Amino acid sequence: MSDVMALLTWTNIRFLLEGLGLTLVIAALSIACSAVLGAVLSVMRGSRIRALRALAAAYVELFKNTPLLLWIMFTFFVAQLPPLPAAVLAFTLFTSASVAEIVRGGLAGVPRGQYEAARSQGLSGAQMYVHIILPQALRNMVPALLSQFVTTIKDTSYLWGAMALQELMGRGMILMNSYNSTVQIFAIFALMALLYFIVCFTLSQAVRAYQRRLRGDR
Amino acid sequence: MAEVFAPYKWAALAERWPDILAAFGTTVAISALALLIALVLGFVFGVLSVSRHRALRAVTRVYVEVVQNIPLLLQVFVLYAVFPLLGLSLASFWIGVLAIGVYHGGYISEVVRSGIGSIHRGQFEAARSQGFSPTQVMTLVILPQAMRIILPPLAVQAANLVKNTSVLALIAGGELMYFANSFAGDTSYYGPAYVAAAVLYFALCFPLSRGAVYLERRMLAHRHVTTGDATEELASDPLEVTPGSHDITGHAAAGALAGGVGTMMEGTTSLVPARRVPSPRHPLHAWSVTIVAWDVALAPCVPGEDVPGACAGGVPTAAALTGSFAPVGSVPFRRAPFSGNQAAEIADDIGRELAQEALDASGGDRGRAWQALHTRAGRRRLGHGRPGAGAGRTTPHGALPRPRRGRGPAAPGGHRGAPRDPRRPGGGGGGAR
Repeated sequence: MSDVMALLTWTNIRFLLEGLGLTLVIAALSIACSAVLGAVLSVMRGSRIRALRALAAAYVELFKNTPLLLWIMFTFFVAQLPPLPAAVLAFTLFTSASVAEIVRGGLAGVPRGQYEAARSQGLSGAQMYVHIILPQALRNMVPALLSQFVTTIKDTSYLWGAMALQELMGRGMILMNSYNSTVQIFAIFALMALLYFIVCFTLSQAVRAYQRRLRGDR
Repeated sequence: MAEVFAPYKWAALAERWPDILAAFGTTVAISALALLIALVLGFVFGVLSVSRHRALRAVTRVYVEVVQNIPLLLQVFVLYAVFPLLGLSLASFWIGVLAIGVYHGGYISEVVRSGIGSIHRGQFEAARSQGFSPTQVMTLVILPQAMRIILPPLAVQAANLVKNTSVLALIAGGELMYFANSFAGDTSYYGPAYVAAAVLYFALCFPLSRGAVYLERRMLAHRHVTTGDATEELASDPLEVTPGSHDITGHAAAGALAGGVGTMMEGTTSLVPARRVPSPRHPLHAWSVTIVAWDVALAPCVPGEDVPGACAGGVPTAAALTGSFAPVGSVPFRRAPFSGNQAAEIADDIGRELAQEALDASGGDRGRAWQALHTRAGRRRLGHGRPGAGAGRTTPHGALPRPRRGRGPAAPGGHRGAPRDPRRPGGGGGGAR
């Protein structure tokens, strides 16, 4: 027990929490960038120009069917970017394929009547999207985007192994170097798992609560 | 950038082809074994998650939440670094199989749970009332129906599982990603290594994810009886309806008939030829059949005749139908003959009757009754769904059958007095011919 107490110092906990901070920053940046790229992709997929549609479809298929870790390695070793940009780029490339599908689903979920009604009120195309369609589509998309955020948070754990970026997983591993009793290693793993769990569980519960509310609205 | 992919680097990689093959084989083996574990866990926990026992539901909840909210890599590391401390050392191959299997088991269990959840309560009750045991209800009645809904997301999970085997590279798993990493590390020929790995992963995952899309389309194209709660959802979002043959009953049918048909057609090119509608003796049937005409009208079918590639026994074949997914025109349906609730109740009654019918027809043999309800061969054996049986229902466009009973509220249960032989040639649609 004293072993565990020796581990649970404020310094160590802050050390881990800083890692968690980096994890969240990377995940948030990636999701934000993916949202933009994903929206562009889904617009491309709905485009009238065949080549654009094909390009977007190929992009989505490529990233849907190859592992994230591969793209992390790719941006870091092949593209030779510094760790943080490499990480965010890899996550953005990978996640935007999923986000594109989410956006497409969100837009498809807005009833056609809404488009027609907006048009009949004399709104321009842009106005229609900004004031009528997107707010509704966004409401449909929020749960899926949050789940994607959870996935991204979990996936940041690759970054330590791939490019020694000190996110939560990395910080835990570093901490493990200075403690070597079984109980302590156990405790460090438990602590990491707990931190991930708290963040991800809270978010996924929020998703569920939000979905329940949406359903209740109807 | 050209230097990164210089030809001599590719040549160096090509020389290692036996190792690439071995690594690829390892990835496939780990994926297959992990998928097996994931399927077993997924189905067991998926079924337990709808159990009546609170404790069992709680156990599945905990399993799913823990597995889904902690990174896979951390779970792998626990097996890799913590278990040996307890005297449990596993080779990284088996760590991969176990960790990835357990991880995806959680996801599959959610897929199974929602698949079961999509089956209307009436089905449980009907099956129970027919004397099926709870296990039989699940294995003979619920899961076979739920499979259609479960399969597409299951294929997605399988693709994700293959992708996730790549985490084993970080514990020297000997699989594809590990090979790419170590080759790249040894030679610093990063470009070819990762591109080759990407191609191979793609070759594994692409068929799976295309399979998911295909299954989803087929699921929707397949005869699809939608009743109860599911119909309510369908009715609220008609654009979700995809080309194919649905037997839409309940809320959606009512909604479609109430004027939503146009919207559904426009958004999706084709609404649902209900080629075999649950009960020919019910007014709902007549209405559903009317929708059939939309599609079928394009296939020049004469009852009882075969046209190569288009008709078999007077019924358009799948090929003919896919070829004719184009709106034909508009059908002046304005009002539903009954409310959504009534329709839903009727649909449930039909489900119950179908189960009873199948049971009667198979002489009380539940296995055969199940086959009759769920497999094409079984239906054929019992004389349901013969190609010719639907012949009378296909009507050339322009001669749309009128509903048999007009718009009077079809009292739920009103169909009970109707003739009992569902195989009557022409069925309900015959009334309109």
